[in-house]
Amino acid sequence: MKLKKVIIDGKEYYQEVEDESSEVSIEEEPKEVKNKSEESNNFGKNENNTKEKNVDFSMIKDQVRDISSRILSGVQDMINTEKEAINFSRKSDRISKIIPFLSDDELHNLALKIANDEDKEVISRLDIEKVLPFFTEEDCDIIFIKKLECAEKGTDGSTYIKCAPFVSQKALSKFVDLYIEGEFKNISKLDTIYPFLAEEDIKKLFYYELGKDN
Amino acid sequence: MIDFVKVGKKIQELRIQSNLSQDELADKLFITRQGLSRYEHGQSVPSIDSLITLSKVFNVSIDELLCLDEDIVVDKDNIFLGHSREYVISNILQGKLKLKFEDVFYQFSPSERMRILLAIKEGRLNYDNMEDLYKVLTSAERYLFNGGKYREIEKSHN
Repeated sequence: MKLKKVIIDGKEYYQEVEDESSEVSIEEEPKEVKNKSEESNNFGKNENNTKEKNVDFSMIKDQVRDISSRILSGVQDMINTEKEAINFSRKSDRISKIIPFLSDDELHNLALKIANDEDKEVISRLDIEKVLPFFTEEDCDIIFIKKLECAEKGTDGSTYIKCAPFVSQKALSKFVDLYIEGEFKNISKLDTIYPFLAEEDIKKLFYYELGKDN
Repeated sequence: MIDFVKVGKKIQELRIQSNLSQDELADKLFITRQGLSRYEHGQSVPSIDSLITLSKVFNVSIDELLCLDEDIVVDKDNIFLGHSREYVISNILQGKLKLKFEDVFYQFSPSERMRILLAIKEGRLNYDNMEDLYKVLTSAERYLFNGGKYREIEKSHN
């Protein structure tokens, strides 16, 4: 016999529980209990589920492998580029340490090679900004003029700008005159050059641009 | 040669006189406020178009705006203080700024030192006190003067 606690008008009573309710409770319980055949069926189902999961997992694995290999190759490329940059910087540092010990003739020959784009492989290893201070003003003028011509033709972008601090005022002044005369059509703006110009040339250029503006 | 640190200060001064905020002036120049700030601090060089607009907005001549024809005065302990480096170097190379190099040579970068030494070597810049300057040069810089046909320069200064 089973008793059930019941509250009526605030008072506690204990009623006898009928067998049916106890049966229900007994029926509900066995749902969790599995016989052998059910277990084996469920086992099969579980196995199938695991297989499905395995398929998904292997696909994800492949995707992860693919992505990670791409990332790794990207990182490797970055490292290689960085290494090349460091090597270039070290090389150019070493070269710039040797430069002062070159004879004047050797420096002049080097300047001519840079100006005429000879020995491109060797010259490309040089950081031109580190080498220019060692060249005579005359040699810097030659490089500047040659690189300006290249910039006008579109074969060299900005080397002439790097030369500007080392070039004679005479060469810069000549360049401004030619620019105003319209000789350099592809060099549209002199914003990068004018900080190195003499006061007279800046004024000339300023009034020329002002006139164009109007 | 333009001293862009000085020009920056001039732009700032003229802007304040005209009661313009950085944003307002930047709008007139079609640049950002940060861009104008860099001009005012001499950290970047205004484009020619910007200079033209500035001279029109402030109604000043290009000479005034670019502080042309002004004398250069430097602090011996920091010769670049308040000036752009290129302006100081250019004035030295043109002989407009006379300094005792042996006292200030440590303030120049290796590239700047070489430009000054080359100017002396090529005779573009006269310097009388080479003997004292020699004492502060590196071995590479000394070689540049002593090596090859320039040995006579050392002899003449010893």
